[in-house]
Amino acid sequence: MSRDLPESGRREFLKTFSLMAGGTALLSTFPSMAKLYASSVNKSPSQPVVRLGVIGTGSRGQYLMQMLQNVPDTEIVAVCDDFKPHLDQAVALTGGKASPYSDYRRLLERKDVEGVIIAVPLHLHAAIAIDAMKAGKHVFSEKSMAKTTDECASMLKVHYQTGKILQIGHQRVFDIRFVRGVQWIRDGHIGPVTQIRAWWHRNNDWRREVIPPSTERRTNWRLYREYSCGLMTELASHHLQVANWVLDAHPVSVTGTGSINYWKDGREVFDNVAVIYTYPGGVQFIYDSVISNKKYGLEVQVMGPLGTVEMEAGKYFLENPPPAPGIVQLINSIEKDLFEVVPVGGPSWVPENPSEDKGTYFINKILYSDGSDMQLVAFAEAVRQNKIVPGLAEQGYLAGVATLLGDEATLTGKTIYWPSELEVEAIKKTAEI
Amino acid sequence: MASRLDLVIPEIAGKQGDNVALKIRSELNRLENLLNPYLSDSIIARVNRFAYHHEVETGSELIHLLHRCIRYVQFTSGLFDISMLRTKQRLKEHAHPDDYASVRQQTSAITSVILNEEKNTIRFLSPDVQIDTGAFGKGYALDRIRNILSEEGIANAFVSFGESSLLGMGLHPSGNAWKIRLNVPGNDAECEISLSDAFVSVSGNVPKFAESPPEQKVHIIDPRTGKAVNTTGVVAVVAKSGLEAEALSTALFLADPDDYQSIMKAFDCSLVYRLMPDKAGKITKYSFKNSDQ
Repeated sequence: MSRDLPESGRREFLKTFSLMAGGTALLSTFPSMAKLYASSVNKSPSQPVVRLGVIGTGSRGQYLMQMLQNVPDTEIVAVCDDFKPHLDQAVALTGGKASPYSDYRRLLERKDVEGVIIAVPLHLHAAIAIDAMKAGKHVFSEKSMAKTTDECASMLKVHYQTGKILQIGHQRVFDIRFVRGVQWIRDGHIGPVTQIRAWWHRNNDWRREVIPPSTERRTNWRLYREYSCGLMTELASHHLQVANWVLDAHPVSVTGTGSINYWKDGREVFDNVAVIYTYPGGVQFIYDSVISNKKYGLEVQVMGPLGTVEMEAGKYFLENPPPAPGIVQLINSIEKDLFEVVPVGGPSWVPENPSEDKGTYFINKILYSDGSDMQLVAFAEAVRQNKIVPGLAEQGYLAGVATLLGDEATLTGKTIYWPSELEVEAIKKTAEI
Repeated sequence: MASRLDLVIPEIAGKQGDNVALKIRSELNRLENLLNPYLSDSIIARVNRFAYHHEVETGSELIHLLHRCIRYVQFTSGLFDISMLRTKQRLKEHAHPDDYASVRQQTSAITSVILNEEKNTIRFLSPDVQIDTGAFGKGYALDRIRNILSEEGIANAFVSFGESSLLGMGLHPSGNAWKIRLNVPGNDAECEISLSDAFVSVSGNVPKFAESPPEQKVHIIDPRTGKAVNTTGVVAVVAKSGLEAEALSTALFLADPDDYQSIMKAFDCSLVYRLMPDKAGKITKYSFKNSDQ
């Protein structure tokens, strides 16, 4: 289907891709990914089409399908959902080309399906992803990874055992603002990271229209403990992935709290949470989320003694302002053997307002992508090449486990420590047995 | 001192440059601990907190420095006053002009600061006195930096401390001095100054000052009235000492131009520029040479 993409859209798409691959940013954040980008940008006209299935065709699944329409040389050949209206919509999205399935196991039996996109409620991620990998399919599964830490560990283990791609939908890994931000931090521009502060605020009830009423729990699965861990798995997991990525580590421990203080409508998950994760070296990741106020939106602020990076905004701020322009001019004139008058000197009074520094953008252009489409491009390319991007499954795993430990902290009020059996190396060992 | 220090030393070897920069940084840290009233453990903070209740021992450096400042207070007939920190804080807290009078009533003069040069102690006779090192700290620091540079055998250097206090040592490598042009927003009048082994201190209010909320319009206090001065304009003083330049620029910003010569005579100052708005609001430049130099 993507062969039908208008040339202008395709050009824009590849331009953004090229921007991502440029420079050294990707080489130090995800070295192997640069190869995928490069091969996708420089694709040969005769490269094989990747055939994919989509399991879960609700709103998120259909959103991903629309993204896939723009991914070069991919085809959605099968779609699956046990809710017929969503399944019909998905078939229509493919122009009737995809075969419909109500049972994902039947879809997995298709030999021509090389990979699957899983966009089902959280509690179903693990079972479907594991079945898919065991059926020889590469897997892209929406975040958060799974509903329990055991399920996360099982998914990672099967990934190691089968050698199949397991990519979790943390699109910020593919967002150029974040890629550049992580690179900038690693280059030492803000000094050692001393604290990360993040939040995600919305102002809505988080409900979806229920038709018919009997489908309330399955439609609003995010609100019920049986299916979801609420704000932690649905929102916080993204920013935990970013924190892990920035610090190149997972948290040592987490404390937290949460409550339902506004949307008292029968939901079971908290409508506000506040958690503090401690990383190695005593670096704190302070996070809160509410759905009763949206003034502050969402942000991840990475702070060090020399500066701050606002990852969502894609900009940085330096603690120490640059030298006065006059001083820079003076240095330039000395280097050029010029004797010039230097504009410097004035009263010391400045307004005691908060810093008026608007920050500096990493990318001075309107972005075509927030990473949502790029993650699918990368997945399709990895499937085409049958190559695992080292470290990518682990990003999803570590974010997923951190999210669930944070959820446990909010439920118990206790400090939760990262269990040794959930270390990546421990999972690798169990996979070898 | 909450300001950025820019140091330009031409033609210096990298290692020596690093060494000099480290020495200057170390000296600035030392001065912060001596003179920053907002550092709770600094010596001046302890003085401001306890000197009304009992004598506070400070060491000889601060006593000698304050002694010099008090002489400058006398030379300027009180226009330069280092005892106004509490007044400044009260003006920020009670920003409405109606409060000025009551604030002033609570303020005592510099005569309430008693220095004991034998015991190196300070005592305040009034609970309303606190030393405001913001009026002279950067100038003193520049004097100290000049000494360090000289000790290191550096003849040519340019130093800017928050842009309001400047030092030009020796010569620009391609010229016969360090030439600067005052960077005063709203100023149409060119004001170029040549510096060679001299300091410049700039005092005044930029136009943006006038647009600020009352609590932020507390920068220069007129000790005669206890009021913050809202005049937009600038006075720049060229002198052989950073401390003197800073004391004098504050005083001359407040002084009547007719009194400039008599005040300047007491200082080792060569030149003063006054950039003030005329009746039409246009900033006009006047220069004054010290007739005693």
